[in-house]
This record gives sequence, structure tokens and C-alpha cells, in this order.
Amino acid sequence: MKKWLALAALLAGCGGKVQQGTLKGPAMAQAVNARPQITLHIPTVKDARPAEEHEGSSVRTKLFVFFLFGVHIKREGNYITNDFAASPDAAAELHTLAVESLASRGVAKKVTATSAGDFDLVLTIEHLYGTHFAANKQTIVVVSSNQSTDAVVDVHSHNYAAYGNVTLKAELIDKRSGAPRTVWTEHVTGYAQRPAEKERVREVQYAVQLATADALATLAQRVSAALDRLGVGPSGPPMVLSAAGAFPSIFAIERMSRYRDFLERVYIETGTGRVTRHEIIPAPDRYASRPGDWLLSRVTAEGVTLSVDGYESFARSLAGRYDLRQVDDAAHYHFFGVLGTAEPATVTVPR
Amino acid sequence: MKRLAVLAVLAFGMGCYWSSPPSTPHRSVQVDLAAIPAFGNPSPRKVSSKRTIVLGRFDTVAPNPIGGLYDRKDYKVSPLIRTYFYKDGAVEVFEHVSDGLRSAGLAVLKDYVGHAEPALLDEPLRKKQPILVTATVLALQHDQIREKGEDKKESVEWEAARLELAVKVTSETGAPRLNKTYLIEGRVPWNPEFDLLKVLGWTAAERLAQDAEFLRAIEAQ
Repeated sequence: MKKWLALAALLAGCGGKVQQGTLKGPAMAQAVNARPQITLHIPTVKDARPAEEHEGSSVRTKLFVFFLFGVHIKREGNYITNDFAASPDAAAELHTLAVESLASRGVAKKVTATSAGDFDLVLTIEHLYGTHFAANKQTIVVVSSNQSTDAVVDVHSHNYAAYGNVTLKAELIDKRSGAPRTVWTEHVTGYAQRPAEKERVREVQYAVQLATADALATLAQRVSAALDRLGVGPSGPPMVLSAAGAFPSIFAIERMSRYRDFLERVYIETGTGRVTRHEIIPAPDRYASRPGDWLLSRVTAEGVTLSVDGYESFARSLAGRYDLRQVDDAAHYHFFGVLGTAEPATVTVPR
Repeated sequence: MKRLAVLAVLAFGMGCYWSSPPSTPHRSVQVDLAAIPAFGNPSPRKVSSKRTIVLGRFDTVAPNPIGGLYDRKDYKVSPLIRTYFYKDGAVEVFEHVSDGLRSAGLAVLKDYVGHAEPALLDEPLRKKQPILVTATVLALQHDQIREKGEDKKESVEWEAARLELAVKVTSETGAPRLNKTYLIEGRVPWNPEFDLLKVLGWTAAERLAQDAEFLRAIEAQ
């Protein structure tokens, strides 16, 4: 009887108690100096995930060999969350979180789930799941006689990290003129990784929450960037400069950190070239430029964003003293210091 | 026989079943090193176009883990030893594709804000009537693989990568010119200094610069 209990205990490892999942994870980051200008409506989120992300999957048994007095099991494959483990109502939950997230980040004056807005943000869930790989094998040989029962157990297992994956299809529709016009469409992803802990399903569920938060943070950055490009974003109304007018006495250059987490910004006195301030801030948009490249910032020392024409005029006024070149960035000039001091360009300058 | 029957009932009752499970992370593909080419030193051929190309930042639907370390020579449980996480793969590839296309002689300007959206073009740039190019990364995989060498004794270590890129070319008004998916995959001997995403991006650029349909879409020769 003992050996059957041992085998039952072994086989019990094939299942496990899973708690109901939720997408709500860590608190959302707050907006910094946001000056939102428009209202944003997020309609009901569509759920277009493949069936396997609703049904989930468990690690499968690859080999199940009986010996006369024992058993050998090898299990390998992927655990994938089902609706219960990830979120029983992912679309509704994500809808609520998206409204909260974009509102807390100051993307728009008002972010609403119900009433009409200047813009619609249409979201579709393409992927939303947590997963981990698993591999283990167990062999039990039971030797019984009339006097005793002995068992030889050989167990090998390998734990792998847990991952959360969220992919949203996002469409921003401008409804200000009465005729809706799609101005931006993109797949927005969120990812997370958690360590290979003993409570793997719980780690996977946490990874889903972190991936959801990551996707919503990225969504806020992308929507902000699109609205800023249209001149109605959270950076506020752009400062219009004219070639005939006075230019700011200080300009800023900036570069993205290697892993896109931080933005280094240096403020320079236009007339003297003296550095007046140097700051490193969390990158407001981690995909705003290439890491390491020094660019003429579109932001003034006062934190006001220059208009497209204003930036162009300012760059031209600086070009008499500073080496500015349009290398490969459609929206920024590269900064190479005071004129005549930089190495000859190894880059081409498309015009 | 009775014991076997009891055990089988017990096993199936517990939810275990016979199957042929995957040996890679979810949405990864198993790399057959013999079936994929060796990456060379990509060098996009020279082309010329009078048009400015605005390359919209790539987006992605590819999953994480981005890949894994496999030891097919010596393992106890599974060849998959560990898995890897990298969230900025699509934008890294975007940077390298841009560099590769510029090295081919094209006037490429990267637009980080949108996904080559006509509505988001700045007015001065719109006046140049640029051609808008962007891509969605459908798959991005980067594995390290240790295999038995030909002598079956020494191990050989490889890096393998796979990029599936859905490229979209439109006019500055959004009129479609090309929608085409490219698959780039290959392997290199393992080298800690090697930047495989750079090779992937430049190989993608090399492929684009050779593709008559793409060249026609961007009005290049």
C-alpha cells in the first residue's frame, strides 16, 4: 500500500491549486509636469486573443514508463495561464486600468470610459498571458518483500523564469472635426520577467500584472508622443518662435541612456557655451531617440516644447556658432559641439 | 495486470496524459542549425533614390522570452538550460535596419514618434513628399545552442537568430505601396562580443536592398 501512496504523491505533482488572477498590479506612476489639452475616450476593449490564451496549457507528460515495481515520468513543456489564472474578465479589467493609467499620467484633461471625447483610443487585446517552461523527471523503483518495502527515488528538475506578455493593438482616432480620422495605429507591448521561484504559478500571475502595467505605461508614452506631435499633447501647447523674434538665451541638448531608462539633459548658455545645468531624469519616452546620440532638445530651459517651426528657427539661429546636423532623425538635429571642433562627419547628411 | 490498471486510472485521474510536449518556450520555434544559413558580414548593395524615406519606428508582437540557452550535448532534464528576457528588441532592430539602408545610399530619416503615420508627419517633412516605411516584428528569437561537434566529442557553440518582419511601404498620404513579410534567420559561432541583433538588422536591410518589389515601392534603383 505504501508504494501506491508514494506513486500517488508523485503523480499529484501534475496538478496544483491556482488562485484566481487579476490584471491589477503595482500602482501606476504619476504624471510629471503634464499639461493635457484634449479629452480622451476609451471605448470597450476588444478581446482578440487566440483560444490557447483563454484555455491555457499545462506542462505535459512526455514519458510514462512502467516497470514491474516502479514508474518513470518525464514532464516538459509550457505552463500558460488560462482565463481563470490571468483574469476571468481581462477585457473589462484592462479597460478600467487603461482609463486609470492614462488619466493618472496626465495624457488628457479627461480620460473617460463612457462619454465622448476629442479623441477615441481603441484597444484590442491581441495577447495576454503568463508562461513558464518546465522540465523535470522522476524515477521511483519500489522493492518490496515480505519483511520490508524500500524505494529508490531519483528526481531531476529544472526551474525556469516566469514571463508575462501583453500585446495591445491601439488606434488613436481624431474626432475633433466631426469626421473621425485615424492618426496613429500601433502594436503596444508589455513584458515582464519573474524569477524561477517555488511558487511558479503565482510568479507567472505576478508577471502578467507587471506586463499589463508595462503595456499601459508604454501606451501612455506612445499616445502622449502622438498627441504632442499633433500639438495637443500633455507637453502643453508648443512655443512658437519666429526667425525675426528673440530666441531663448539657453538651449538644451539631450541623450538617451544605453537602456533607455534615463534621459540626460544639459542646458547651455547660447552666447557663451557655458553649461548652466545638467540633469538626469527618467526618460519621458524611452523610444524617443537612439541611445548615446546628443541631440538638440525640443524642450526649452523652462520646460516648454518648441513648435516644429520654432525648433527649426532656433536651430538655424544656433547654427552660426554650434555644429548641428540632421543625421538620421526626422525630428531632431544632432549636436556636435562648437563649430569646427567636432571630427569631420562620418555620417551622411540627407537633405 | 490489475496493478497496471489501477496505476493507469490513478495517473489519468490526476490529469496526466500522454503527449508530445514542446521543448522550447511558448511561441519559440526549435532551431535546426543544419537547416539555417550562416550569417555573413551583411553589406547592403548600393542603391539610389531621389525620395526621402521616413522610417517609422518598428512595433512588435513578438513574445518574451526572446530565446534560450540550449545544451544539446550534455543535459540531465532538458536541453533548455535557461531563458532570456529582452524588451527592446524591435527598436534595436529598427536602428540597425535604418543604418543598413543608409549605408546602401538611401536618405533615411527615423521617426520615433509614430509607426510611419501620415497624420503624424511634421509639415516641413510632408512637403518633401517622403515615402513612409515601417515594419512590425512578427517574430524575434535569439538562442544560444551547444551541440556535439562532427567528431561527436567536442562541443560546438552557436548563436542563432530568427526575425520575421512585416514591412509596410506607403506614400505620404498613406496610399499603400507594399506589404510584404521577410524572414531572416541564421547562425554564427558563439562570440560574447558579437551583436547578433545588429547582424539581423543589417541582413534585413541587405535583403530589402536586393528586393525588386521593395526597391520599386521606394522608387530606388
